[in-house]
Amino acid sequence: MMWTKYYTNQIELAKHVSKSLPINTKLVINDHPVQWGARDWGFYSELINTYNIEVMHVDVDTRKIIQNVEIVFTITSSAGLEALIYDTPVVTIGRPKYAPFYANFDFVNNVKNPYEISESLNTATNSSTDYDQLSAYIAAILEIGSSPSSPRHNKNFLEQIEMYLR
Amino acid sequence: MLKFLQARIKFVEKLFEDNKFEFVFSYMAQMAPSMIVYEFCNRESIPFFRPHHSRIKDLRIVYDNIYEYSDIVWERANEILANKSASESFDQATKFIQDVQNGDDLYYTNRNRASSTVLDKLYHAAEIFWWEKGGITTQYYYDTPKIKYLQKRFKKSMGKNC
Repeated sequence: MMWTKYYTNQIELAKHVSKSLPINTKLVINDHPVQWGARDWGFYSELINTYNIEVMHVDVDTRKIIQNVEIVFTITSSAGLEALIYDTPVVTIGRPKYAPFYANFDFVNNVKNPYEISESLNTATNSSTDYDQLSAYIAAILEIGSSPSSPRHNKNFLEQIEMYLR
Repeated sequence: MLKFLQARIKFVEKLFEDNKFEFVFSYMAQMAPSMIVYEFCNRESIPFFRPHHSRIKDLRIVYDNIYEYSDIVWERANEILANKSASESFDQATKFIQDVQNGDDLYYTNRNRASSTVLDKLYHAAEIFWWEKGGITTQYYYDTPKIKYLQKRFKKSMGKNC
């Protein structure tokens, strides 16, 4: 949430997105697994009661959702990177272009305020992943080192640390 | 408690002696191992990155140029893109993307208990029930007396002024 301090009210943001969608389109929300149980049930019930919003259970595979939706809206989630790998258009909300990670790609659409969400739908549906750029970005992370949101090559590193710390 | 700390500090100390780190990226800055690493970084003046969080006041950032890591990554990414045929990492990354497209996990989250042993599945199910019941709350541990106490113990155990 570092880059999106104006979008910390996620219910309002979800409603903004849902109102920007065409009338026959649904907004499917997949909350972060860590948040499951941490939030009050009222959070989810308010979302579910919105006419075109569906909330997925924590155990639903994110990849199946990504592969069956037209656009992925995300604030700062790594699901955006996963969507790019599956060539699903991504719209990031509130992230300036100078932000790190995948928001810097030309083929990632960035929305700076809620009024731009509906406009972004058209541009997003026409955009597709440039796999050369994506590969170069992942290659750079593999070479330089990992951030907390880095791909799974962290596994060995973490296992080594855990082994030593036990 | 002291043995718990000593074991960890000994490992980190050896790690810092054997290697020369240009910067350190903490996976979970609020956990004890990261806190120890932070103290070493602070002592050696090594940039310490940690996941950003805007809700809490983080007193333990010694290196706050949040764009530098990003700049380094993008600079290297552009170099690789310009010379992709000579880059092994590019091929590795391409294979990684293909693996993910074929069903591999994008991240190692250590949260895949549902697909492990029967006992893990049961534990996972119980955990889900517990979560859904509302048994877990979000807590942040910074600035609590416990953390301040632990920080003092780190410094004392290290025997140096950090």
